[in-house]
Amino acid sequence: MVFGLFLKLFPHPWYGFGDHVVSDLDFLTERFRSFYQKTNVSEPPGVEFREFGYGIFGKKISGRHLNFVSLAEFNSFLRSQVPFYVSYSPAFYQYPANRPMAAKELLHSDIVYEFDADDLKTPCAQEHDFWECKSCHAAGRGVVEACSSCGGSSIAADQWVCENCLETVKKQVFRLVDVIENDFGFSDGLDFNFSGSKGFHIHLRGKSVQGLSAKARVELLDFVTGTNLDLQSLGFSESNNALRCTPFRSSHGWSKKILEALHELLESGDASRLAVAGSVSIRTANKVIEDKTAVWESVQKGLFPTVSSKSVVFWKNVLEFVSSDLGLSVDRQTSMDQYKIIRVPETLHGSTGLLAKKIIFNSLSSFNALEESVVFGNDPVKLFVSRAPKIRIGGESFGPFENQETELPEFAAVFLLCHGAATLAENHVPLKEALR
Amino acid sequence: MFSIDELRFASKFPFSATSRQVLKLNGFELNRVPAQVLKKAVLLIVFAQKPHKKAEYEKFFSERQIGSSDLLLTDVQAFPVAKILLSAMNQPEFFDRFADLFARQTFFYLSLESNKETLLGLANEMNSKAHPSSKQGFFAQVALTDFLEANFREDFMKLVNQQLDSGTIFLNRNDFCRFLSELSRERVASSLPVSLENVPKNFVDVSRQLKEQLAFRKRQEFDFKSLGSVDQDAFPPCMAKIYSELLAGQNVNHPGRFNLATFLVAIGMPTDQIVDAFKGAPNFDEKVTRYQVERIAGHGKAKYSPSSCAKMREYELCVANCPVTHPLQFYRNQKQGAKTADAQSASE
Repeated sequence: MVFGLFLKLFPHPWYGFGDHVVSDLDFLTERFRSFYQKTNVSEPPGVEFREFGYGIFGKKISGRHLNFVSLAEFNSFLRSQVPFYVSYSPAFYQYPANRPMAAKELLHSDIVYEFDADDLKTPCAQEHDFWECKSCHAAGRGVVEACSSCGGSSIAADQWVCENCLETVKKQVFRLVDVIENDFGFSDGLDFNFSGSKGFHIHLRGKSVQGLSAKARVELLDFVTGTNLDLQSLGFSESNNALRCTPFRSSHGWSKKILEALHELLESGDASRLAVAGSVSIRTANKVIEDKTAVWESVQKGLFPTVSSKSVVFWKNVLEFVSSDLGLSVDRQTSMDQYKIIRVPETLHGSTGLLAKKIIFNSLSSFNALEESVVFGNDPVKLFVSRAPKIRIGGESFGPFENQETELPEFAAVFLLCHGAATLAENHVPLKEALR
Repeated sequence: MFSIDELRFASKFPFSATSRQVLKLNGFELNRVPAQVLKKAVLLIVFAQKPHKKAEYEKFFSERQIGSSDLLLTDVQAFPVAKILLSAMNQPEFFDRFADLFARQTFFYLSLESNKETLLGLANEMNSKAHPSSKQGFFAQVALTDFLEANFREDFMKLVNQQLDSGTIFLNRNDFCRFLSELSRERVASSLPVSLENVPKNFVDVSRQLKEQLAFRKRQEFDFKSLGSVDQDAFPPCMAKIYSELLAGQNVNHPGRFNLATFLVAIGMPTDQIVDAFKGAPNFDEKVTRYQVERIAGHGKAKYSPSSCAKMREYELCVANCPVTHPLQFYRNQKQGAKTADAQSASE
């Protein structure tokens, strides 16, 4: 734990210890270089119109406003400079390298939706994440909002990813694709890739999307996330002491989604959940569940039946409850900010050493990012690991580790080194010696 | 030539293709603009700059439809002339108000319109493909990409509140009129400013006079620094939250930092104090922060303002349901309330 704190204070141990200073960094750089030397990255399309940025170890973007005239030049850059991160603009510019941003002259832009396991608060994070209070340095496993020792809210999180996290993210991706295809009607130019770390990126590169204004992109994003939802505007209105709606067969968009979610709740037969949703007694909720067939028939025709003396309030509560679960947890900034740059698919992620691998949508359900995005080999590497939960990568399980030496295959060693959880064993300097 | 119906349509919707055709066929030339057209254009601009009651708008729109073809033609010609005058004034804040007037005018006339073809026709004249609805219970359908060209200031216009299916929006009659009204707002706003090449000298003179007249109103705009010392208790909840998070050393995202900085600059907090507020940020760099705060304050060229409440909601920075539309409005109300209370207690 003490060494964990030490690593927090000095996150790049190679910056501080004489002869040992560059070895970890050199090791990773050489691994990344060997990857780029034998690989030809064929992303992104329209390379000459894109702005690029790169990152060094520990900093995702340390420089930007780069431009390459061809994919060959881009690959040459990857091989010679070996960036730990490389990002590109979803936007196409007339002059991608110009500064300030306005001088680049925006032509049009893709839309990128980004899902990240961190935003979904998956229950497994309690198992594999760690926290440390910045004020009193208390630390522990899991995810906390405030320090359990001093109550402070300034918390440093050490976040990890597992297969469960990524499966949860995938469900969001499938729901997004349903919205993109069935609501928006955009079927062309959809590309998918693993982010290389904790999520997935969905690129909309069709012509009908590229010309949309910034305001239009916010509208699409709000639709995806259910922001600014207004039940009355959607046709749920009160008249003669009853709540009415557009008949189910004529409902589209969010009104249809809400009615479907209501149907699902009724069909689940879960009276306790319905009681919570509608803020009514379990007795009233049971009565609604018992009559669920008649209730749903009435709702389908556009009338919410009377279930108590406060039926309108009950139904409004239920509708708000079901709709609150329907919005997707997409990263707003990535989709809204036309100037944001994002990981180039098929390049390495410097926080994991995993590939931001492109995925064909039909194989997404069976895609295992922590296996299929592994690009490094099995040569054994001796490490000193300060702290890591049990990880599953490359089809094998490792750890948990805490302040111990171990020997791991190269792909797992790169993963821990990139995370900053380990150092090459030969570089490990015991704390007492380091502080002497 | 054109019929009286076409002329009436053009005067109701002067941003339409029909209106442009009328001007062309009528041989409209800037060098020979009649005095009454120039006068009408000035009237349009002045009326647009001030909010009015609903009845006043309705009176303004109704009066303009009564009259001979000459008067209707004057209305049609006044629109491009007004746009030239506005462009010569070079004050973008007036463009939105001008666009607002025509959005209101469009909705007013469309809601009185009995001919379905006129409504659908106006959409097509604004390059938006609208068709009678193929689904029962709706008036019209519009392609999603066309719908997204409108303005989305109001909740009812938000895409999330539309009947959307496979890239098509289905609208009832009233919502279709509102859509066209918001589309006209966007079309008028985005058409400004116009080119000022070959603009006659008398246009420039008129625009200068107008600018002075309207600048008088601008001088009366509120100076937040006149509210006295910075008072954290008067911060709106969104800014108070960002401010306390920064002081607590939490990592606030970029829109949060930017909006707090612009807010603090606007209410007159000294640069040093603003830089101090950011000291707790995990990646604090005093030189970079000072440079950015000074840029926000307009030491470079542009001066930046904090986002409206609507934008703050988009950034997910809004944390309360305040009865204002802008964080600075909240602060001003709080400060003025406190001042009034102080004055009252002093006099008691």
